[in-house]
Amino acid sequence: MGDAAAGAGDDPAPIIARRPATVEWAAAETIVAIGGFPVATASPYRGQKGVTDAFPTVPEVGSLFSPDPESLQAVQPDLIFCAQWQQNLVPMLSRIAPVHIFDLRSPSDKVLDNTFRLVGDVGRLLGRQAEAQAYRQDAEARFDELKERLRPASGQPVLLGALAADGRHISVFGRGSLFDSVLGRLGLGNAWTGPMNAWGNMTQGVEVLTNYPDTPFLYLDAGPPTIAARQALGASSLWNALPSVQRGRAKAIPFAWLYGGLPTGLRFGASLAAALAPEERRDRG
Amino acid sequence: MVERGVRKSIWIGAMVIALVGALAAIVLIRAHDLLPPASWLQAFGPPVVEPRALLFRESFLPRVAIGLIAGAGLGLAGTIFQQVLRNPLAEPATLGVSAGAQLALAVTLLWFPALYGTAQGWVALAGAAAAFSVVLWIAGSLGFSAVGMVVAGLMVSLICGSLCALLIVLSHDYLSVLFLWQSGALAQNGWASAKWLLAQILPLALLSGLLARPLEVLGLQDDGARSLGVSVRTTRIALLAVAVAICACVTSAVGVIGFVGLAAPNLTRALGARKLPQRLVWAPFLGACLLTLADQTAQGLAFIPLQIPTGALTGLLGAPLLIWLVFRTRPHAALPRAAAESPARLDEPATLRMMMRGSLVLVAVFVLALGLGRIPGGWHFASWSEFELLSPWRAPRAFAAMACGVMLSVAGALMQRMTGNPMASPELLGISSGATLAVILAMLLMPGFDPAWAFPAAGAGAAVTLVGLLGIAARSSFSPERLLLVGAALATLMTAVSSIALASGDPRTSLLIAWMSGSTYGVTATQAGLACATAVLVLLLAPLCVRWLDILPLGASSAQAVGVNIGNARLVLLLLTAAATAAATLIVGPLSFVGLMAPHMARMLGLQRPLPQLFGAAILGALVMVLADWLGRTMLSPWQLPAGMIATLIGAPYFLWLMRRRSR
Repeated sequence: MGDAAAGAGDDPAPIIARRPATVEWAAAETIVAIGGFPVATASPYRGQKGVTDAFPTVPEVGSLFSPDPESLQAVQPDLIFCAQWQQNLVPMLSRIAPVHIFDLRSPSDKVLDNTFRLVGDVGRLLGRQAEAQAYRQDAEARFDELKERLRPASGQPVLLGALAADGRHISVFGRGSLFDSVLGRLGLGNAWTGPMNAWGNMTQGVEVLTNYPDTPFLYLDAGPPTIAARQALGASSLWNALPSVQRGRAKAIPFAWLYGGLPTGLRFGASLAAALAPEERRDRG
Repeated sequence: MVERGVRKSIWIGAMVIALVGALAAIVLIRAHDLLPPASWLQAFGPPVVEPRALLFRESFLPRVAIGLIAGAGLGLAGTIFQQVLRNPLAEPATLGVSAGAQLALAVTLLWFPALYGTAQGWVALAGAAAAFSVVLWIAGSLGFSAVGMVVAGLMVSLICGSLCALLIVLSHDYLSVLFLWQSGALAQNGWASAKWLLAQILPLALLSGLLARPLEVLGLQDDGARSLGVSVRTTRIALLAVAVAICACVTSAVGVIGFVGLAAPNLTRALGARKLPQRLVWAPFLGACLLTLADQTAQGLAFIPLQIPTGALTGLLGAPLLIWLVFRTRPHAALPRAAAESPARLDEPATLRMMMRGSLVLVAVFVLALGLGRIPGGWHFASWSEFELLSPWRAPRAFAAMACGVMLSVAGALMQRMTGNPMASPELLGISSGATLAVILAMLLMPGFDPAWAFPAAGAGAAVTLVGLLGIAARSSFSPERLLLVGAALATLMTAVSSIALASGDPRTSLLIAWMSGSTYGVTATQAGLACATAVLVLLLAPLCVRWLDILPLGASSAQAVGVNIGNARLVLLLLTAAATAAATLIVGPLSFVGLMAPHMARMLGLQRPLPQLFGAAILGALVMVLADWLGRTMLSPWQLPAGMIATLIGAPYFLWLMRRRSR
């Protein structure tokens, strides 16, 4: 399981891909991060923010789950990056070009390490080893910097989630998610220790927040659904009575894609620091 | 006689006491776990800060309250629907109310998110009312016959459901909350919802009480009611409007809760409440108990690493109970038959000409589907050399769509002939539900589920369902009413399990959504070839059953009189239907639309004798599916829309229009 670089064709001699295509966004943002340019990526959903911001001009070939083979074929890729959970697409994709399957969730408790590994793999397959190495070192330095900035909050548990638009449910992110992994890297704790699905998230009623009266609750700002949820929660006697809400410790942070790669991890880390560090500095002063 | 009555009332009393006892016990135990009884009253002292007291007062208690109110509302609405439509299958969903409300909420969330948070209830109400108006508009042209109304309601449901699924395919992450709402979640964080719902339901309940007498009269046939001087039309519309309003309120407050509206009235009848005023009291009472009990139980299952939505649990618990009910009660006074609206029958040459024309259109559409595609620059008809490159993507899908259209249409035609029920369709038989159920279970329970397992799982599910159906059918001498009820129960079960899967937030479930909405995406050449071979086989076998199809709708006694062994005839028809449905389900998911529509369309075109209807339906079904698949591939390219969804969007409005036009 360890080495996920199981391509469709076994390539003993390293072939350098000049026209890499992706059918999701973690590989796409990784390619862009090391100076490459993917010839295709998946289309974002209506209203979904932030996933293709870094590469707005890359041609889109349809949804994550059913990319259009005709559009993909038309851009003539020479290598297609495909996530392990999209494996059912492999028979179709491998008729178009060799496929590289990557798995950010294996091992599942080291998602951030896996995103570093993906940077290395992409660098090797695109002949950009030096850029990949530089990006990894840069990322480590950024994380160290953020960790230093968060030192006053070190070890503090944080609750991470997203608000469902009905104002009655939240998704919480726990072990096995990229976000949890970033929390650990920055020396913070995850307050959620309850059950998780295989993807490190779980839907709960808003009332679970009563179990975390003093824990900072950071939720992803997904745009309109979050606005709708906040409106509904404004009328909720339970939400308004929560100590964390009253003390302003329930805050929105910029949206990040849960299944993203290292660039997403870095952005999410910066959002965490921005949300938690000023507050701590004020507390000190 | 007296002794039997006494025993029965003892039994009823015991049942009711057990239900109430279980409810009280579970509520008290959960309250006790949450907060020591000594602090219960203290929790009401104004500013509550202690987390457990807060949870008790602002979450636990309002949740119990809203469960009771919503359950009562559903029980009441279900009673009204079943009485007015004279159909034990009628439930809040039958008239398109839930689907209309859901679509309105989805649209609001996407385009007017500010409204969603503040006026959610009113939005749902508006959607439900709009859907109901369409149903009335169609049913009005049919003189508000119970059959017409149920069929129209079902069509409106299908259209709304497809539009909603389309929005979900395009904006999956964004609308994930709709899955929660769709599967009925009662979580509360304040008293606002419960108060709102009570304020809406109470006056509506009183109104329905006032209408109780005319409602009882409607249980008689239309003629009987008219001779008693009741204005059938007005009373029926007034009653349905009250029931729809109740459903819309419940749906907007807690989402779609299946089964309670179906079960409470049936249970009430089974427990011996015959008089309508009795049932109007007992059904809401049982509904309230059932829903709250299910909700509290669902919360007690917290150790399962899946949030089980309450609506899904009511479905899970309800389906077996429904099947039990089917055998306990005598089939309800005859399901509605559709003989009323029949156009003139075509003579033989005209039939042949129509078949020829149909086949030509099918060939033309098929060539179009293979050749014409959409590339970033615009529409483009492929040259032969280009086609060689494109055919691996286009041909399997077009052939598979055609084969599935044929199989579902033939299955639908056979079922409608066999049962004489216009609502009969492969989905209502439960075969496609069984297949889907097996796939979802495999997906949820097998760690590291490989999508390659979907096919064997679906096949096994279809086979198990088929064997079960054959067993049931043999015991009830193949009574069509019972089979339909069992099919409905299986569909409920499937919806419940898929709701759990969809609400789990697992991204793999997107595959499930695509499959369940009828996507031919990813069909291989081998699968398409097998589907075509099966379709040809079905087309060859079906004509052998033509004599039975002519005779069976005349009724059991006439059939026996002309020497047909009804048991054998039905067994063969059932096997053929099930095989066709299972094969099609394996490719395009539990798609019922074509199977329901194509036979109707064939009949409305004048193809009324069994053989022309079968082949006409097959051609129409193939046509609709090939066209739908092509539109799904190209319309919003590169987005791939499931063919089943498009088929519903093409065929259902056409069907509604035809229904209205033909009836003039």
